[in-house]
Amino acid sequence: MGEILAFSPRPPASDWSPNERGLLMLLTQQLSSSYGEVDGVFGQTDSGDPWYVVTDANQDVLVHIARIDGQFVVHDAAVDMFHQVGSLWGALRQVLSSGEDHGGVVVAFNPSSREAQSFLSLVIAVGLYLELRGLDLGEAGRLNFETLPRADDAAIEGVASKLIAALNLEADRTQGHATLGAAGAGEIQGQASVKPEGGKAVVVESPMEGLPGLAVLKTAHLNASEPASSSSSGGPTQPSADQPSTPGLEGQGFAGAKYAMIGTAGNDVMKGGPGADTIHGGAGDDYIDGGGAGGGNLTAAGTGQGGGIDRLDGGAGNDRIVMNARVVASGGTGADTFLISATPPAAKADALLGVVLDYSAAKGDHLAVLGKGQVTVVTTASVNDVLAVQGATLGEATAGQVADVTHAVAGARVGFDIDGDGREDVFILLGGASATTFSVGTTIANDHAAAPTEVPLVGQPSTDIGHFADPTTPVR
Amino acid sequence: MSRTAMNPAKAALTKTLRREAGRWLKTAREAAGLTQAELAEKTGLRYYTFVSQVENGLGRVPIEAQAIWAESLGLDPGQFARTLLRYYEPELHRLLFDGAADEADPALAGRAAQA
Repeated sequence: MGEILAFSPRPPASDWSPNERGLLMLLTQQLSSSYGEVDGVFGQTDSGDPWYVVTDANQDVLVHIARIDGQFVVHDAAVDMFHQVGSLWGALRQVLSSGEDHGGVVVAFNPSSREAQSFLSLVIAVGLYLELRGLDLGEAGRLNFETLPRADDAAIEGVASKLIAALNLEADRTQGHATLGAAGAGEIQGQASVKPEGGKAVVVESPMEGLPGLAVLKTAHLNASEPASSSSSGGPTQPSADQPSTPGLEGQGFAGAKYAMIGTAGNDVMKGGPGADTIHGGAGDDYIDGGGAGGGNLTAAGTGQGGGIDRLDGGAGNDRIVMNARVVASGGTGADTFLISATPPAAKADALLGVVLDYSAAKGDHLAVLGKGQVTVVTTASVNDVLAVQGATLGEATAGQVADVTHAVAGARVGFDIDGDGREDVFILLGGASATTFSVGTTIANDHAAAPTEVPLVGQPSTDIGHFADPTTPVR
Repeated sequence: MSRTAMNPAKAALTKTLRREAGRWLKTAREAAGLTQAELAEKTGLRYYTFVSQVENGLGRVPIEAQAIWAESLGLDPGQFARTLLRYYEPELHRLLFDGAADEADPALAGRAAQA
């Protein structure tokens, strides 16, 4: 037992960022090649400091990584080795290096493990080197991981995304699919565990019952014959593998890839980050929140620019999707609830509550207010292209950022009064709806189930973005 | 490096018991009026996030730390260790303390017998 870390008052801690989670999942994949079936579990202390542990099939903890006061602590339980480093890169490095020699214990040579470790190390080294230093490949050997920028460095975040994408392509080559899912606490029933076969893909298990704030992932090799998820029955658009890769990823030693979070067959709770996200809930009654897309993002739905659009697809099941101006949503099959805000907008662009591409009152789709308040329908009008209206409202060509929608989606523009003055304060664009779908004077309130109190995000980007329904095809 | 995995039923039981142990530990800590950080400081842990980990049912309190852990919580070390043994090694606990009135937990014993 040595010194104690960070017990003094300090600023509020933050949870793992999506990129940190991605890197930690890579570590889990890595360990699975040595330990077989392993679970990765994200958690936070009561003070908010995030931690992550990897357990083996016997529920023994293999590795504990935590971020405390900006420092990363690593405890490799297999060899009882403790490190404190300044970056997550350094933490991963410590785990990988300690895994090569477990304190003199004879370890059978595992080609796949060593190959995987070498691959990861190489990708990290080359990626960081090219991204941050702009130097020649041959100089990468001088990298000092301890002196690299911290995890919250924007450049690091970008590189991490690329690394994840690159490694995910590797998973595809092994005929695996990366599947993402996360669910709220108390949904352990019905969780589907997938037995690992030494693959590199990651599937996320539902979190443990009664443990809010935890998200569990289980490494597993998924059968390529099983699509990561399915969507509505109406003629799904399946982008081919040779689609243009994400701008900004080519030509830097990384294969291009678009990012998609894909839920499990169960009831997932999925939340995106501040950038543009593509989230597919898959089957089950999913709760999806894009988390906003106004902050700019490396991927930015392929634009490589600021802004961006959260592309949210509920897939099959009765899903709940959180709307905002930068959301383009598809409910998929099932009676879906689109959650809108009843907060008066601060800016003109905020008056838009988002776009739904496949709204169908006939199949049970409806709107509900997220949180407190209510709205009253005061205007309805037909529109020929909901994405064009969104683009005009936001002042940017959003249609071009929604790659899976190839032609105009007609629908309705429905305006709402929030403050009771009878005038329109906000509006939503509902593809597939008509001007008569909503009657003026209709009041919409919070009539949906409470949002999950914990929204654990376990992001595993996928190169597969091809599971959205064609919004122009009747869903039912 | 790959270890022999326990059968799924036993693994599920282990997971359940660890969670119950975690809840019990959390309750005991809160009853003692300690934060996770304060408990870690008292027990000399190298990183206080371990407390959160264990309270969430992951891993176990090391045997060598159980005495000071108990004292930090104001509990009797023997009773503390016995309770944790019930969660961590239910079969051993049953062999050692079967019939002990203070540890009776039919539901727990039933699950252990099924494993």
